[in-house]
Parts: sequence; structure tokens; C-alpha cells
Amino acid sequence: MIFKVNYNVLALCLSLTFFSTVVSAVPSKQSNNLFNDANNLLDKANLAEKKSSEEIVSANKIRKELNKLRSKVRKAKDSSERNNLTKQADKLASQLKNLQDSGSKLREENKHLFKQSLEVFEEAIVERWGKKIRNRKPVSMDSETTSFISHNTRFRSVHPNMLNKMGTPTDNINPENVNKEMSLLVPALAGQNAPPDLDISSFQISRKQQYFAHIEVVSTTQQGEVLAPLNEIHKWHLILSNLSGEPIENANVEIIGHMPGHVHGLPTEPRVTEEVEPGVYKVEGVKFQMKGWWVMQFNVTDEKASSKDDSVVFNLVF
Amino acid sequence: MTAIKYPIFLFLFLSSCVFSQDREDQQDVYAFTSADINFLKNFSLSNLSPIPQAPSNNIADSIEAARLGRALFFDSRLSKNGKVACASCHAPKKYFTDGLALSESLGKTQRSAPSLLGVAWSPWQYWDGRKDSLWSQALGPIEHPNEMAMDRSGFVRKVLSLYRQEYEYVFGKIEDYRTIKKLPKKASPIGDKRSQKRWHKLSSYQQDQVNRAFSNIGKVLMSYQRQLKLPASRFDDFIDAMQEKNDQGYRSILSESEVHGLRLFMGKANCFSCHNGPLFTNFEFHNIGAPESDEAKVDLGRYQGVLDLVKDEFTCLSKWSDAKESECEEMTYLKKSGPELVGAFKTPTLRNIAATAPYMQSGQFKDLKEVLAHYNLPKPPFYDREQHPNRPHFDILPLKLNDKELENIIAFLSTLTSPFPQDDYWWNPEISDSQILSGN
Repeated sequence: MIFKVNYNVLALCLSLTFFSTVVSAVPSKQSNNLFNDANNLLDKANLAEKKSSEEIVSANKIRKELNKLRSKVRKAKDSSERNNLTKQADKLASQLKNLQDSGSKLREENKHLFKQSLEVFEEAIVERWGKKIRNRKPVSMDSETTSFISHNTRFRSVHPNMLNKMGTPTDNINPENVNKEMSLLVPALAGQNAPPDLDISSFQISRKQQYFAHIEVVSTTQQGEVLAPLNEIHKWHLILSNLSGEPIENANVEIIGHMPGHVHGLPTEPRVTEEVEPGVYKVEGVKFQMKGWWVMQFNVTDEKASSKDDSVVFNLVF
Repeated sequence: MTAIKYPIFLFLFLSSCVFSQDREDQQDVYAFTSADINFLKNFSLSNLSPIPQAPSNNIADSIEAARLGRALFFDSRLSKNGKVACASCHAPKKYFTDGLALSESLGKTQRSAPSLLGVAWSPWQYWDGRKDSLWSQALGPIEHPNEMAMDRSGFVRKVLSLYRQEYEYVFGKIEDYRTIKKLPKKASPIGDKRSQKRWHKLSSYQQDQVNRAFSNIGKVLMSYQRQLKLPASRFDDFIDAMQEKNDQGYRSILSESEVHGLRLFMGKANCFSCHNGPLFTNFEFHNIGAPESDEAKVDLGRYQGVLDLVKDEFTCLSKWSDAKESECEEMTYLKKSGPELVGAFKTPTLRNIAATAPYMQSGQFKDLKEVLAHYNLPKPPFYDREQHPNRPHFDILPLKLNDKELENIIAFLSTLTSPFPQDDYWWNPEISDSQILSGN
């Protein structure tokens, strides 16, 4: 078992090595190829999604028919009619199962292809944009940061008659989040959970698949990976390109941040203050008043885009 | 065999203690794990971060400025009736509060006077954060008709006639003192109609002379407040002593009831959620549903505070600030909208809380028992469609604690009271200037 080679991983490593060596030699062509590959994967993913939706629609129609048939079976006057109807129902049931199986398989395929396309888009944009992208890692906060002089309450908006339905702060604490080495049970430290399979990549495609975007924390004093500070105003770069890697210039960007399950937003109003280079937007005024799961949404309006209201969403887990 | 069995038994015993989630029930209430201590030490004054930079006030940390600020702080000649000073509502003996629900000076204030201890750490001042610095805040009560009720021009004239030398020592020679001396006694952009009329008759040069001196006076009052240090309380002694390895002496510092209260505070009662860090506040704005003192005229809290800030003439971004625009990020990126602003008030420090009754923004609760009763079974915020821009948020959950538990929390809160520092020049107005210790 130990010596079994995972060929998929090996193939991916080899192909990445191949890309990076060749890419640096002939950058533009390679990045074009990468963007082509990414777009092909995305097309395939979308096709799988479309097919899967169609099959689910068909499956729903069949389910309705099947229910009607089953009701007829129950009302059948004699056994021959019942047998005949049962046969028809079984046939439909098997069709339904096939469609459901194929639909969910396509959905899985879509997820897989979509993820792959994002990975290739990331490689492509890094190749195309070079040093403008300084940090590819997810936006993170120093793990040593403790939540002191920070905000960590659960916001709720309630009608007075909700009062009796509200739990206490220590209800619903996930035991897995409790620090086992402490004799103090601190509900605020055992706060909210992000879903385990949450995509926290700093590279994302927009909702309407018009833009590929990247975020990173920037600092004038630090190089490499810059961590987001707690309770301190800091700066980001938002990099916006189209799906061929061309920068999106002069876009209007609105920034909305919130914490799922907390019903509250950011403590500041961050905004784009400058387009420092084509497609590279400086975002100032970002501040997080607590650790946990944040969702940062960038609503992008580009005059040249076919759809004016599009947005890119990033999940951050601190 | 025995040698092996014991560690296993001990491990099982320890894990059963640690995993029992009603952890407040543990037998030895003083037994804190090293992870607990690591967590608790963040609340000790020994771990208080350095005082935040104040780019909008160049003389924020000047001792000369603080000394002048101290003199002004206690000087009742600077109010309309000559009887009210800053110290009237922020009395050192009462931990810089006045012990009243609403302050009484020339009139009655709308809100309760908060303590000044630790305020230098907050990015916003007042319960609703309508000021972005301590110097700008200090200017508010001077002109407020229910507080010191002075007119800006008259106030500046008076301060400079009484303290010209000290002022010039801090800010340099006043180039044009003649202009100041010739100012009308009653002219202010926010005074009564006649006073406003006189203000608008002044040339912009004259107005600037007044505003420059006025903001400078705010700045020395800020310098003074930055000198106010909190002496260690029994709680701090307890946490600090607990970190001394192999020393059980800490046990005698707090009573069992107080330690039970400490555990509840951090745990089941979730007070820690907003009252965290050595100053026991996150300086954020929350709505805990404290009753409105007047339901016909609701207090919009931070919502109104933000509206006031935007039109405030003495912010970090104003010409009276010493900061560069890039140093005023809190103002530049001020959160101006959001449903969570409505009826929200700044989390107060819990330092000296047992000695600073009554409580809440307008003293709605007379003692800690009433405060705890509210948290235990709170009523959601009062909502009036006509007056509120949206249904106010409600930021707390009922605690459902029993009477004993509530008593323990109150006992714990009393451990946060610092002893009055009799020999501290900044706290004690009776110590004369000549007695100031070097290095203070």
C-alpha cells in the first residue's frame, strides 16, 4: 500500500512542471493555451451542468407519471390490470433510477470539471500576470491572533415573540470546537463553523462567468504572503481579468462583506481607491472585527461586459 | 503493573473532568489549566497594549500639555455659571463618573457620564461614537447648553487669559493675541441664535483663530486623559499571581464565589463575547435591548452617531487635525449604513464597574442586579416603525442562570475595581504641580 503510486497526482505534477518550464520560455503562447484549456474545461463543466439539469427535469416528469400509475395500481379492478400496470410502473421506476443516477453523475462531473477549470485558470492567470500576483494562498489571518478587543457576539434581529424560542449562549456548542485543554467553557471561542469543503481559494470566477478574479492582502512593508490583521484597517489588491486573461479596466466595484450566521457586515466600508495597473485594483479600508467565516463579495460593473451586474464571491476562514 | 495503571487512571480521571461540559461544577474552582491561564492572562492589565498612536494630536503625549489639560479639567471657572468643570461629571473618586443616571450641570444631559479610564484605546468617543478622537470629544460638553454652556469665543478668551503662559509653552507664542482679546464674549457656530449671528459676523480669519485655540484646548484635555493609568485590581493580581509557577498564593486573592463568577463570565454567561481584553470592552457598538428612557423619543445610538460624525467640524479629516488624510482611515472608511447601527451603543469598559452605578447609556439600571436580570431574561429592543429606520438588531441571548450564579457574577465584577491611587498626580487634584514626580 505504502509503495502504491498515485498516478493521477504524478501526472498532475508532471504536467505542472511541464507547464511551468515551457511557460516561462514562451509565456504568451503558453498562457493562451492554458486559458484555452481552462475555457474548454469550463465549457464541458457547463455542458455537464446543463445536461444534468435537463435529466433532473425529465426525472421529475417521470416521477409524477410513476405516482399516477402507482395510484392506478392500487385502484385496479382485477389482477390482470394490476399486473399490467405494475409492469409499466416498474419500467418507469427503472427509467427514473437511470436518469437520477446519470443526473447526479453529471452533477459530480460538473463539479470536478469546474474545479479543474478554476485550477487551470489560476495557472493561466499567474502565467499571464506574473509578478502582479504576489501571493496565491487563500487570504488568512495569523493563527496566533487571539480574539481580544474584537467583536465576537452573535447578532440577531428578533421580534419580541421570538424571545422564548432563543437558546442560551451555551446551547448548540459543537463539542469539536471546544478547547479540550481548558476547564473554562468559552462559548465565544467555540463559535461558528465553516463547512469543511468550503472553497477558500483566492482565485474565483464570477457568477456569470465573465471575470476571473484574485484577491490578496498587500503591505508596503512586507513581502510575500501578507496576513490579514485582526481589528486593523488594511489594504488588498483585487485583480480582475476576463476569461482570456485580458485585464478588466475601469470597472466599478462595490464591496460587501458579511459573516454567514452572524447577520452583520464589516465594521468599515472598504472601497476601491485606485486602479494601480490595468486590472489591478487597490482596495482600502478593509477591517475584520472577528475571526471566523467571512464572505467577501465584489459586485463588478464593466461597461464593456455583456451583463452589467456580475459579482465574484470569496470565502475566507480565519 | 500498578505503575502503569495509575497514569491510565489519572488520564481517565482528568479527561472526565475536562470533558464534562458543565465545567463550572468542577470541584476545585481554583484549578485552572495552563490553557485557561494562557487565555485569562489576556484580561490582565499587565497585558494591556501600548496606548494607541494619536496622529490627529501632535501633543497627545506631551507632559506639559497633559499638565495644562489637568488644570483645565478641574477648573470650574471655565463654565457659564463658574461652578462646573469636566471633573464635576467625571470625578476621579468615582472613577471619572458622577454616579448619576443623567448628569446635572447647567441642565440635565441626555446620557449618563461614562468613565474616562481606558477611553484612549477606543477609536470612537461617546456612547454613540459621534466623535472620532478624545480631543474632539472634549469640545462637546464645553458648548453644550446643558453642560458647561460656554460660547466658543468666550471660552477661548477665558482660557487664554487664565492660562496664556502654559498654553504658549505647549503651542508656541500666540502671534495675534490682540484678535483673541477683541473677540465678542458670545459667538459660536452652534450656540443660540444671537451667538450664531455674532459668529457669522466674524471674519474667517477670526473664526480660524478661535477654532485653532479651541481645538488646541481639546488636545491638551486629551493629553491629560491619556495619562490616566488604571492601577491593578484584585482580578489583575489574581491572574498575574496564577502565572507564577508552583505558587498557590493566588488562591487567597479571590473568594470562591468570585472565581465561580469569573468562570461564568467567560463561560455560560458569555459576557466575554463583547467585554474582552484587559479593558473588558471590544469598543464596538451593540444593541442589548436596554429599555428606552423615553419611548416617544427613541435613542438611535450609533445610527445617529454616524450622522453626527459625518458633519462634525473637528474630525481627524478636518483642518484642525494634525493627521495626514491617510492616517484617518477609521473616518475615511466609516461604516455609514447597516441595520446593526440602529439603537446600538458602545460596549462600556467593566473596569471599576461595581463602583460606577447606575448603568447603561441613560442609567436605566440602578445596580448590577438589575443589569444581570436584564441579561438573564432580556426584552428585545423597543421598536417603533415611525421612529426607527429599521427593526433594531438584538445582540444578546437569554442566559437563564440561577440566582446563585447571578450573585457570583456580581461578586466577580467587584474584583475589577482598582484601588484609588491617592498619590497619583493625574488622579488626585490635591497634589500640586510642584510635587509632580520626575518620569511621571
